[in-house]
Amino acid sequence: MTRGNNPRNVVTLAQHFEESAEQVLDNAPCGFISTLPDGMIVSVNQTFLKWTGFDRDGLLAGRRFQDLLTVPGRIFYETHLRPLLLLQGFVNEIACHIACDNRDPLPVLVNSSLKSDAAGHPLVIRTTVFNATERTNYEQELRLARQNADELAAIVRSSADAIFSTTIDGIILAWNPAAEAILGYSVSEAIGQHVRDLIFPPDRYEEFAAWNSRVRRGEVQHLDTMGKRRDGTLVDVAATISPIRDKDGTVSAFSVIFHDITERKRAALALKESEARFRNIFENAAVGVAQVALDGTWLDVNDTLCGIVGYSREELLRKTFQDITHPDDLDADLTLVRRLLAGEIKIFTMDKRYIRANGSTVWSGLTVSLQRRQNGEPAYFISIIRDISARVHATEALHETQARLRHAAKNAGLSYVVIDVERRWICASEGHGAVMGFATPGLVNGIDLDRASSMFLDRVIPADRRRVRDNLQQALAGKPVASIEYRVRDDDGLERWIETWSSLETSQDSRFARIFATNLNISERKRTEEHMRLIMGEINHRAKNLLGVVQAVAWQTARSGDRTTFAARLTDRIGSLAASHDLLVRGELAGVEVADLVCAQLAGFSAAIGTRILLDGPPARISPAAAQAIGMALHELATNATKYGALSNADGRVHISWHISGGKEGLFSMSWVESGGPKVEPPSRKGFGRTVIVSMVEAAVSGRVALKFNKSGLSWELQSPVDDTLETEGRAISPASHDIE
Amino acid sequence: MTSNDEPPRILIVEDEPLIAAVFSEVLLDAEFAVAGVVSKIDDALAIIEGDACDGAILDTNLFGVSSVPIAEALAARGIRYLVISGYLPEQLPVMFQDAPFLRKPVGLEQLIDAFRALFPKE
Repeated sequence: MTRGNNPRNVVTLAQHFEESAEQVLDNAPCGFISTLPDGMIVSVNQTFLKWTGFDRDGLLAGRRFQDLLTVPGRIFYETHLRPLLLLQGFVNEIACHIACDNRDPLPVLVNSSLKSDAAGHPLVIRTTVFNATERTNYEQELRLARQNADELAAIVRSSADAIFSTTIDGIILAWNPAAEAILGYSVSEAIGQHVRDLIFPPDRYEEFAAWNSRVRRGEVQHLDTMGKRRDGTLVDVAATISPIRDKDGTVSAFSVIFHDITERKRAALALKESEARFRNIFENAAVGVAQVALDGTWLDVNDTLCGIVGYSREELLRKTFQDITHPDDLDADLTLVRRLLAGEIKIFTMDKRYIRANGSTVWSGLTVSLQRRQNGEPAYFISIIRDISARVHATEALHETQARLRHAAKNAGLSYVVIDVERRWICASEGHGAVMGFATPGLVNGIDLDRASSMFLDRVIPADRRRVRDNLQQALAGKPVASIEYRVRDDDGLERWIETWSSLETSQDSRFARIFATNLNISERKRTEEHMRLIMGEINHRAKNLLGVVQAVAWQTARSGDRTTFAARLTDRIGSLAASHDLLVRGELAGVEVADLVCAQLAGFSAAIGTRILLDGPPARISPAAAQAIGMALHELATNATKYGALSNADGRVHISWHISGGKEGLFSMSWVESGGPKVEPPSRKGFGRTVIVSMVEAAVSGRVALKFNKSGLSWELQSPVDDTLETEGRAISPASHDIE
Repeated sequence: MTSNDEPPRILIVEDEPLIAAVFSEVLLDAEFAVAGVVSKIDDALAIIEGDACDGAILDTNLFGVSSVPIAEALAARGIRYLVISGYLPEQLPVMFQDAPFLRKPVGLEQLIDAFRALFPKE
């Protein structure tokens, strides 16, 4: 556009043309810059220089207007402003920034117009620059405010929390979608409603209302409450009420946010429950549980632990584990703790003693693990402490039981042996020797089974030995065995009956392990059994014998007397046998006192005994066999005396006497002497009565009978060896030897 | 031993005199002779060893003493005898189990029949 003109001339002309305008506008409230069409500055007013800090001479020394702009402004100038200016002759209200000298870029609005010469050639560009700092700032604020408002609205709309506003009286003014979702009211339903209807319980609203004034003073209030939904159900919420101020700063409304804390509450509750559960486990554990600091201080302990060591929780928490560990166990404990801290071991277990509060010692089983922080640093120890004194007590109780067993065994006359089959070892209770009647050296503490067996079998009498050995072998082979009775020879050389009961004990792995054998001295029982057996045999024998006697008496009675009196005579004689037998039974078959025998046989004359019948003799027991024969003879003598002799009248007397001469080897004498009866004549024939009083008695007691028919009366005198007649000691029961197999 | 026309002499070994007396009378009635009535082992052995009896009634128990020695003496001499006892035969020693056995109380006819069986008449 300037092509063909002399540039120097053009400058001069333009300078001249603008000189007066420059003067006028130098202090105008806007900047004026005149440039050549290529941008070369030819004039600038004072205002522009003041705004931008440039100096006039610097600018007029060939700077171009576009060179004063910031880089984006310069590009805009070159690409839009100048072409548009040249094309249409003006541009208005172009916003750009002047890159000021040593200052922040200056926002400006640029209006430019192109002055051309008469030929239409561009001559000069007049540019008016307005300082746009103020306006830019405002626009910026406005834009930010709008943006903020948009963002806030978006936040409120998309918030998961119920957000609404109320008047200071509580009437709802605005309502976001989350409020609708949480509380169930649509926007149109909510607006105009009172906030009290959304709060539960109602008294919570009173509290809420009490905060109204505080919110009005500008404070923000928080409270956890329950929101009441449109359908009446409730929702846990954390409410935040904050003031909304108007332009004057006066609080004109409230903003309310309901944050649904159902989940938080549930989580909190779950956590609480979980903690309570763990606390419960911790507190009620059957073992002592503790959290222990790295220095050994008890951080937390449960009641069980307090019980074990005898300290209260408060006392214990002031102590370290070292304080209450038995000195002898401390080093071992600390060594293990060090290894745990060093990571050499993950856990350790030891039996150790604590010194209890009362100074006593308690054995405990301790298990310790180390809890580490997330970064691996040791945090604290977890200790499990079991009271193992029960184990100790159990052991003591076992000892006690064993002691009782020993006593019981001793008192019961029992002994026991325990055979360890695999180890072929045997031990016995302390009373074993006393029960068996012989001692086995070392047996109480245990000796080799084979040695013990051999010593034992030597003591068993040969007749029983095989049976006992078989029984023992069977037991050792693990087969159940019956109890066994056998005889041993005791230290006094006497036979002793022993009964042994064996039981086989099986170990937990079902393998036969031990034999437990109980021994009882049954000699006394055996003697009693034997005695009973003899008595039974004897009773049987005597009963049969007696029947034989009855049979014989009947036979004899039938043969020798008047048939019409047979029954009476037989009955009398059987009665006599019975009387003697009664005495024998009463005397336990151990003989009969002579006087008792006489009285029994003379029972029909009991009133006369002591008057007409005199008894005279020392205590003496007649043996059972002799008692029967002598009793029967007395019966026959009494019968005869009643019929023909001293007892047949009112005055006759009978003197019955007996004595013993010469001790055990001596003679027993017994006499029946009648006097004062009718005149006696010897009987013409010998009846059964005579047999009984003479030959039968003689045979029974190996004696001699002298029977005399004196004028004064009958006299009967028996003499027999004491040994055959009287009961002597040790012959109470004298079985036939074949009776014992 | 006696000649055939002499009655056999029976020794009665019984500790109960009443019973022994009955045996004695019953045997005499049945035309046996009675060699003696004894209740002691020694007395019995004296008669047996003196060859004074041809047969015997033997009670197994004499005042509580077993009469096995008498049975042995009788057996040794081939003297026939009857065993009588209040015990059951199976309770008795083997020695007694070879001879005829009568249980007490003894039936008197059985007794005589037993002796007639032991000493049959030609």
